[in-house]
Amino acid sequence: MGKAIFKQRNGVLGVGIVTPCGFITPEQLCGLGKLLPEVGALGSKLTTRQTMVVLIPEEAFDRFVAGIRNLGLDVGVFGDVVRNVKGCPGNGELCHRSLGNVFELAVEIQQQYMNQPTPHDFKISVAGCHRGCTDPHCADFGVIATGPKTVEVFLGGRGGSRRPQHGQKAYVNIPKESIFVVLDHVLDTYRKLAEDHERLCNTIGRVGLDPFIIQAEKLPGTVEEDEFADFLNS
Amino acid sequence: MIAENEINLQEIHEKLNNLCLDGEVCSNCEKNKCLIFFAKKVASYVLTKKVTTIRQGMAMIPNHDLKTYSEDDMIETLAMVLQQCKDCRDNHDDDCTINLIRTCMEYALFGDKLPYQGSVTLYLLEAQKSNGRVGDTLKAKYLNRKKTK
Repeated sequence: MGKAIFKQRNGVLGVGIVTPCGFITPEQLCGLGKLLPEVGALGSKLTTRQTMVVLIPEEAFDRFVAGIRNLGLDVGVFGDVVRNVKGCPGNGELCHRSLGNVFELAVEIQQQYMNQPTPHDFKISVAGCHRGCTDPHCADFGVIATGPKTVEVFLGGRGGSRRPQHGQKAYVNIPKESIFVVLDHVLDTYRKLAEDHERLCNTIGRVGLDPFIIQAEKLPGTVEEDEFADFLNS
Repeated sequence: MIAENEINLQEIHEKLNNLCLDGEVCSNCEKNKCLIFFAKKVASYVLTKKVTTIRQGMAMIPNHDLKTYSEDDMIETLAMVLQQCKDCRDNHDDDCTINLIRTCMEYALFGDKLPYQGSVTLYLLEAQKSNGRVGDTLKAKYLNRKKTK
């Protein structure tokens, strides 16, 4: 699978560093602060996908990669694969507005799925509320928390394109733990139904959303729908 | 859409608790057919479960409750509720717990619910349109609470 290494016009390499959904520890940041001058980096750029592209001379590539791996970081992925996951800082300790602990979910999705082959690039965004700081509507697979235990899933969004489009709401208030079953199903279906290098939105445009849907009763986990009704009647 | 730690329903819960007569005057408590009982339960649920929305909550509001409630108390409670509204605008959710309690007060006060566009200012205009006198009092109480808090 492709690595996020991009030869620039001036000959230097732009190397994408991937972290757990954009989270960098102070130690890693300090380490990068030391490493970048050591390898003669020209600079770095924060990307819209929560990665960092570092501009380094080509001959310093191996030293740079060894250096970032020592810091617990790695080179990102590129091409027709599941990309690194964009995740908002929504959890019990960080964002006040988040409705559920989605940061941990996003990191887990990235750990399990990043770099899996797909017919076209496949982008996942996870947000803790409908404000959607991670642009879940513009991702192939967008997840939005609707409560501590429930999420919505939007399929087929894409941002950077001549024809940008928002994803379609495909799953409403499903149990958070069912997200992996849903993602497996969406990826399997996409691989089966997509034409060569077809982006998910175009596959959905051709075959419809239905093949990508698992009926709610077949999803693992339960949504305690009647919890308030029980409380009301207690 | 708001987060649990942004809202404070303690005061509203206490107020609703005081308003609820627990069947003493109502002869028999209608429980979830009563707007005050329902609103009290929503506040209590929020405090217990730390949730911000209750799915299908709007559909559960006992809007056929025709009891006459104290106008002053309803306006006071409504002003309290408005203080907790976060002006969500486009992110407004009808099943938001604040919205549910506010809607109960609206039914009790105006006999119907008012449109809510995620903004307290717009809401006060709607209230004024619906009933000039009540709307003016509500606005004054809300602004007064805002000033003193």
